[in-house]
Amino acid sequence: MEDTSWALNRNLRLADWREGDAIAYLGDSGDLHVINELTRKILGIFQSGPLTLGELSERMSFLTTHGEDPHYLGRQVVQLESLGVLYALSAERESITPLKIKR
Amino acid sequence: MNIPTKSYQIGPFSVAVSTDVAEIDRGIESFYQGFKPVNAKFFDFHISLEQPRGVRRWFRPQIDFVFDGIRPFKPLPRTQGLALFEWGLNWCITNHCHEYLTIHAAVIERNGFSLILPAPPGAGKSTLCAALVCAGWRLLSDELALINLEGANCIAPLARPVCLKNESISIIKQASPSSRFGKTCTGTNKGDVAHMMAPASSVELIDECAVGRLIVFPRYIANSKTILTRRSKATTFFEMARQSFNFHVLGSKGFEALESVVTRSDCYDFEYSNLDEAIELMTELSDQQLVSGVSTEELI
Repeated sequence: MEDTSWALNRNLRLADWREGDAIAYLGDSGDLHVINELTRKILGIFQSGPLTLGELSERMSFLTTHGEDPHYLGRQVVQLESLGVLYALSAERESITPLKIKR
Repeated sequence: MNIPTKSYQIGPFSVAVSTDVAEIDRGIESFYQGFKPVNAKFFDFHISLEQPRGVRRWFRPQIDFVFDGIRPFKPLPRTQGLALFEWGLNWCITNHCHEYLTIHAAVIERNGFSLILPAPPGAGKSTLCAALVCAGWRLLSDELALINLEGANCIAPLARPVCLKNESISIIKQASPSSRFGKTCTGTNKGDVAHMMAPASSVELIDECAVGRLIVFPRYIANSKTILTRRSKATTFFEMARQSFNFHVLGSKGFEALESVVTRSDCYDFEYSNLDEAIELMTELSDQQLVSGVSTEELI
């Protein structure tokens, strides 16, 4: 069965079923956050690799030209930032590995 | 006075229980007949149900739940002693057993796949659980889903009696006259309460874990149609975590265990008022798992 649980950094786990919303879990506080589909798409952009500002702008523009509200887009980026995802991706990019589920 | 202690292996837990009230003693014995006695000096829980000293021993008699010498609750009327034992044992498990992720849910099994019914009190979880058990499903638990943290997606059975309240008691008694019930406790905080004993077939399989496959959030709504709707895994995860007693205690281990069960399960919301239709639909859902060709090994 495909892995659906990811460790984005030491503190942040993501359960992503590739359909609908995902769940983010913050280890230090024990908080759960719902990551909606749009946020998942944005996360996918950030996860795709190191991007120049131009590339980032281009991919974000792709989402807005495909019906997403730019203001809403901004809110999702803020959510990712508040969860520490953006920091995790920039500072610990090398350590991002899928979390293997014990079987 | 030296009160004899009885011991039972209830699923993964060893319980030593003693009481100085003959009626409660007989009730517990009938609830747990078929459970193996424990030949050990160590028990997970030492419980006694004791009559208080003083006037309450005779006037409007009461009973105390004593756990390791501590009285965690106010005494209840002596006639509610059996219900107090069951509620107290739930409290012992949810507060002390963190080797499992414990969720407020009924769990039953058919064809090797388990059906988890998480729900807040009053949603109709126990009634549906009892009806399915009477229809031949195996009872794992009416109240607590114990999800194993080591072997992911494995649910440990308890096979304790199903706690039914108010109208549910007569509904299940009528639906299944052969099922065995304890004495009805009247006037409790939850109204009238009666316990339906676990079938012998469920008690025999108490050492066998079940694999999570279906998660259904039941809701009894009077005169409603029988409606089963798909539910997203994210909202299922969120609600299961909310219904958990120790998700916050277990940290990332709890997250991994719950994620494993939710990932491998089909998730639904379920509204019902007609028990026959509900049984038919749940049985159909269970049969679909066989048709889908997924084996229990693939889900562990």
